[in-house]
Amino acid sequence: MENSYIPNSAVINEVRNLTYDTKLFKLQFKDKNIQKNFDYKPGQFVEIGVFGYGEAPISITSSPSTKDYFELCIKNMGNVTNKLHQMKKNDMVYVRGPYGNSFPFDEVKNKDILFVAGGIGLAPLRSLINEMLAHRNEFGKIQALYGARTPEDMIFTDELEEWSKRIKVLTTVDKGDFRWKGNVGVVGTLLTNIKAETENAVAFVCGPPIMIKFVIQDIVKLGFRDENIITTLERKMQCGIGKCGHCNIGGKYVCTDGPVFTYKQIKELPEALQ
Amino acid sequence: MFRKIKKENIVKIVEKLMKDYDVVAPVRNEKRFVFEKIKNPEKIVLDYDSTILPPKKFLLPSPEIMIRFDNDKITIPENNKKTIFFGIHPCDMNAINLLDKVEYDEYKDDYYIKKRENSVFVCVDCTKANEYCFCESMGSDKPEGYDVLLTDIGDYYFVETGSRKGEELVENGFFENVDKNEKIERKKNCKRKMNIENFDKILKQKFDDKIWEQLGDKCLGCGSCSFVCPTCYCYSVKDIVDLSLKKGERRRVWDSCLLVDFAKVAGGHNFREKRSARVKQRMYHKELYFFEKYNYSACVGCGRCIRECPVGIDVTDVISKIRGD
Ligand SMILES: Cc1cc2nc3c(=O)[nH]c(=O)nc-3n(C[C@H](O)[C@H](O)[C@H](O)COP(=O)(O)OP(=O)(O)OC[C@H]3O[C@@H](n4cnc5c(N)ncnc54)[C@H](O)[C@@H]3O)c2cc1C
Ligand code: FES
Repeated sequence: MENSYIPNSAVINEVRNLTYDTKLFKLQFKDKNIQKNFDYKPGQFVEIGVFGYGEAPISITSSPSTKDYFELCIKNMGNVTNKLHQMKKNDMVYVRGPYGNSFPFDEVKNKDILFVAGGIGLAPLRSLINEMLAHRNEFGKIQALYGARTPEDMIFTDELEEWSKRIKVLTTVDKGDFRWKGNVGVVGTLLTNIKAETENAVAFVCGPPIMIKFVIQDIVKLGFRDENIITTLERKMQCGIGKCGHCNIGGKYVCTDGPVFTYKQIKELPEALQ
Repeated sequence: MFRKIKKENIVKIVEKLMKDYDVVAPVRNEKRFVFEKIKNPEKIVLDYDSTILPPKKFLLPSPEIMIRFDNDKITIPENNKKTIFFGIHPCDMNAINLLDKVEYDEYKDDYYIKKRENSVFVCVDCTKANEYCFCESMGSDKPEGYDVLLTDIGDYYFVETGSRKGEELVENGFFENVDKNEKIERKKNCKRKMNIENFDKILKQKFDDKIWEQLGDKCLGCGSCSFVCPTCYCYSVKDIVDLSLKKGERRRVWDSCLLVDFAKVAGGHNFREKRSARVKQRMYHKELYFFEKYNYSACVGCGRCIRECPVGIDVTDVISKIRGD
């Protein structure tokens, strides 16, 4: 029997600063076979670890069409993430996964898609956005709204630029600076700037708990049905595989039953939106 | 065909088993009992009431070394020693049956499963309910999942087997064959009772009840109830390194949803900041979420949490208050 807790070594191929506290890591499993067979779907996460520091659950931000490597976008928040931020090209990390369920993809084909991301919440959605853009003609109108705290906190600015050539992209910051000429206000305010069909449409919402809570309310007001609002929940995780108990809410483990849930499911889950 | 074993032969059979197995059994520890790896079989006490810690201290030990690392080399600690749990009560055996559901679920917990499958469980039916336990109310007084079951019938234990492993264990001279079933059915002996019927449905209506605030005010958030609970399995992981920072161990230790930082994430947000939310979580996990998932309450009624709670929170009392009895 294979031991579910034993990670595989992966090499850091590239590290890119996205902001002052967030970096993009391009990783490749050392064992070519493991890399080749590393199949994941947008919305899934891995446990990335450094021995001596621990492990942290991180969403896979690359899209599955990238075969030779995968990417994680990591914000420096504590022990493990801080250590990762100090690591460089060719350093070795340990990864297990992919874990968790994933965003619906085939199920939402031919529908209009609305993405609403706050802060680091763009990381998991980026995987899905790029996957949808790779199959652009299989989806209806796609729009993406992204909000960050300040202009310095915006991640994937180059890609937002690229996407805006093919889909409608709106960005905002909670607090601007003298150079910022764009929208100011929380991401929810962007919803008033768009025309969204809500009948045959699905909304994906990712971000910090407080943002999710308010944005979902706004989206419901627009007319989206509860089952067509899709989000991810964040909880403390120590195993990622339904054993340590930390991520339990209601009858679910966020790590194995989630992290992706519809608003319909969330309404039935006590403690979900806190 | 049936079997029995003379009480005075227990020491001899354990001595024999110790050649091939680690034997874990209840022994006296001042006024209480504990499970211990036996060195001297004379110390085993089979007519005990309850042990301080349940058998999980061997099956899910804390700390448990998960991985040893040394630069880029990682090894998994191996322990293939076979263990016999000799003299565990039906409540504790049933708790192991419940742990199995979790540890053998979608992802397997290799550490638990290796130990579990290297173990033989010799249960002894319980004759000494204490003032805390209520296994009969939970239905966990019925022994299930044992390899061998011993029932006190006076000078002998009546012997039943529940598996091949059990069969093999009793095929020796210490066990006498008898023609008729001499088993004396145990009389119900729990003093404490609890009504658990439909409690999952009741809990669904009580999420915003004021009882959680009241309990939260009383609870110290110490986690003792979880640590002594035979079915509480939650843990935390910690890497321990030596001064070189290159060599060390990844360990897991018991954790409890009652401890303040159980649901606290990096950056400081705590999903269960309030003690009332944490007390509630433990109840809901045991009596609703576990029930929904596996069709069993995660409580076997061993009473250890009642006995150890420093402020006298009594689960049977809490449940009856919630029911409005
Ligand atoms: C499904 C999921 C996907 C995530 N995806 C990303 C991502 O793409 N990019 C990103 O930057 N962050 C992501 N996070 C948050 C990230 O896991 C935490 O920031 C990280 O665990 C902090 O670890 P640390 O060791 O640096 O912090 P410490 O405060 O030292 O945390 C110690 C340990 O507690 C646990 N823990 C602490 N905070 C969290 C948390 N917020 N969520 C889960 N476990 C936690 C981890 O096991 C961590 O190692 C995700 C969280 C979840 C649950
Ligand atoms: S992270 Fe351990 S149970 Fe979900």
